[in-house]
Amino acid sequence: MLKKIGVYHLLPFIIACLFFFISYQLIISDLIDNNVDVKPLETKIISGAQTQLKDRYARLDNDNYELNYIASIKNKKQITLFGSSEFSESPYVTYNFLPSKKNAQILGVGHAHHQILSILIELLAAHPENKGSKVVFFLSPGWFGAQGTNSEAFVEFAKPNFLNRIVNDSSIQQKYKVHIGRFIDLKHSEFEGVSISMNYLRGVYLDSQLSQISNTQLEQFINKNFSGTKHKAIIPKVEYQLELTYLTPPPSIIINYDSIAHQLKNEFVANITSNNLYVNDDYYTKYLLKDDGTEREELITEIDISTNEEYQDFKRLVEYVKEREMEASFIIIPYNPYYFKNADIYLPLIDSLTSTLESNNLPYYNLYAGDTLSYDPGVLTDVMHFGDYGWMKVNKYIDSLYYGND
Amino acid sequence: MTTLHDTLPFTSGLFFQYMLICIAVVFGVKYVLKGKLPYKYVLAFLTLVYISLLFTKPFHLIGLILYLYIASLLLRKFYKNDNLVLPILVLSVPIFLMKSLSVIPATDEATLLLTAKNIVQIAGLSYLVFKVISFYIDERRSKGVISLIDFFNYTAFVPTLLIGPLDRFKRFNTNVQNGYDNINKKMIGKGWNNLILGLLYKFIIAEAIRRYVLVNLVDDGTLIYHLSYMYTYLLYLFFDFAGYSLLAMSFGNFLGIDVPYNFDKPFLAVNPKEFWKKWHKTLGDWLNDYFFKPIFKYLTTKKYKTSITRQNIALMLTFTLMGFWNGFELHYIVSGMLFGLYSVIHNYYVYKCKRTKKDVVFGDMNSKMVRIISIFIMFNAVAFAIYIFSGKLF
Amino acid sequence: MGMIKKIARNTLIYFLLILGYVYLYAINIDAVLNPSKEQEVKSKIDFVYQQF
Repeated sequence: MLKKIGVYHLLPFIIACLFFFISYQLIISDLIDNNVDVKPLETKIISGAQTQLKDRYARLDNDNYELNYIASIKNKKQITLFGSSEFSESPYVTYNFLPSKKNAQILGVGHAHHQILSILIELLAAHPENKGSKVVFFLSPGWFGAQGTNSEAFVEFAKPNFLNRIVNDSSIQQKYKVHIGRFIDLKHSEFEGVSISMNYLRGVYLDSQLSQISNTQLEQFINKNFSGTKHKAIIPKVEYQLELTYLTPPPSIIINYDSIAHQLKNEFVANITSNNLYVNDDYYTKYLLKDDGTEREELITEIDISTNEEYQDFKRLVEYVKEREMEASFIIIPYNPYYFKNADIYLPLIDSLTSTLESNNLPYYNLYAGDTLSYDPGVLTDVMHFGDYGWMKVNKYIDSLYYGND
Repeated sequence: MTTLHDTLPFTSGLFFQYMLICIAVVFGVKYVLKGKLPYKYVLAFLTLVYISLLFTKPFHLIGLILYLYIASLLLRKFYKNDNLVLPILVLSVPIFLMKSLSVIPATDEATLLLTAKNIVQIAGLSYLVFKVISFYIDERRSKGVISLIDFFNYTAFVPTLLIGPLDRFKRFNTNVQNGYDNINKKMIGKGWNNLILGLLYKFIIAEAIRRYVLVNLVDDGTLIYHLSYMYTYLLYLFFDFAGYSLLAMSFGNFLGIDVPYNFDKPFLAVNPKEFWKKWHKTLGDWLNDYFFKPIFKYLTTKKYKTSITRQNIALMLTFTLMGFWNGFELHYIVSGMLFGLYSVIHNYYVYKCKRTKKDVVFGDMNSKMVRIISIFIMFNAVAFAIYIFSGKLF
Repeated sequence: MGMIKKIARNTLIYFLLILGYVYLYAINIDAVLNPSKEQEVKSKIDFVYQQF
């Protein structure tokens, strides 16, 4: 019987395996190599005129949005604001207020979960255009608590065109590509379907790790399984052909920031009837009340800067911003210390952020408050998002910094 | 575990794991325990484990089996008439309910309707009822008690539970009575051969056809599209269904049951009669034994018209029934009737050839040519009928 | 001849099984054959809305 199994099943199985390996070597390997050599892809060209000179894009949904974003970076008369959930439709948000008051060109980019890694990728994608660009970063403390970007946010914000552009741009320093690749490698099990440029960037990271390992077997194993860097020739180039637009600013306009701010603050505080936390009534009843009517209590968890992903992303962003000599500034958004009773637990983090910025000569506006004494009520409309009063403070800062007005 | 009560046969890895465990248990009892535990109880236990843990509607299925068991036993004891219509109707009640409720569309508010549908829509019900009908007709005059265990093993046998092959009680029970003796080198070898072929057909070939051809066909209404879809669908259906049947046979074999085969090179059939011995053979045999023959016999006793006419009526009724058995939707019924038409045409052709003592269609043509042309005609006729069956056209 | 035929048949079956398994289930053949086609990337993480 064993002979029967051997002859009629084991033998055919072994022959089948042999056939398979031969056909694989002959046919499929060729297919891969041929694709790399023979198929030069056309450059994808996205062209158009710059039309978005104010307001914001929650995300860059289509080619036109991408084009306008790149234009905003390229246009040295326009400021690009990078933020997350504090961006709203309020007329006092900087990208609405300054354009309406003085024809300023300001574009906002982002919504919730738009964090530093996504922002860095967007800037790297505009590498040819971003030298000397005017950019403002709104740093939310929640980003650091979230331990960095997650894969869903990455999929939403790391547009294929952008990744393709980064891969194909040889003037971008390797360390930035490695930084992105490291994230992709770390989160690779969370992705369903990985694009070739993602694989390439991951390969760049893995190759950089390899140089520290001198195990030839491991090298072979990784090279065999992550052929990402083998396929660079098949990642299409992307080019944005832009027609920039320049608005004529009206003659000198004096905006009475203090008076407007003061009025907004008083209105905000007067309208609160449900709590003593300086949180608007709607938000309070919706999110801060438990089912039994008592107030929710929440404490901030301490973070370790040395291992915090968002902090590592921050350092990389600062490096890049300095390297490209961007006219960059940073707004540090506070937590509401009336609600987060231990807001001071983040003070070491905030100190690290500000000292990094200082040592790199980057201007910043630190609104973070470790306790209720240092907090200016009304800056936030709830526990972590700017209210109109807070926006007026930001507007004054930005107007002064970029337009030289007080 | 979300896969509990959600695992139909051969649809997930969990099912295969369950089957492996069953095989291991049976082998274990045979070789390690030297067959100390009676085979039929081990089999019934394993079947019960599947139904209670993995099957989608355990209580409904058990309830159905109990209804059919009690109904069969009562009919066997008290119904002495030769007319089989009443017993078959009684046993077919579940199938009638399921098929008719399926065609009534339900809105969100129709809770009574939805509850009713929920009760009768049990996976594998059509096959189960057919198995019981054949059981009743074959065993109604036999002496002795049919135990619930034997009935349960026959109706709920897991590998064939969902879509067959349709086995016969006597044949199945003989295997069960032989118990562990049936698990021998020959049976295991057979099981293995069926396994590799079944895996190839269902999970490789059918899957490749579906993934790379079927989903890529663009419905632009042209004849090319319809033809492409027709042939592709036929091939896909064959490999999927044949593969499934082979897997059912394979696991049945490993458990010691010589499950009958369903497919045997059906596309080489030269006429409808041969086709139904090569495509879904167990269904064809069932229809032949329990529907065609009784109807023909009945019409003959009534001396209704001529023999050929009686045959054709019986054929037409049989295949129309098959259409209804698939579902009370128009495309199933029309497809069934079309197959009936094919058989009637062929039957008449054979009759005419016998009468005139020559081939009325092919004349003196070379027999090899005749065979090739016949296969070609049959293949296309089947393709068209299956295309209607698919519901793509209407 | 029966033996050779049987061996050949089984060889074909095993070969197709290995080939099919590797190309249908083990690797993403589409990425290899159509590298220029944009791959749809999705995240397996279903993000519950947080506030930032």
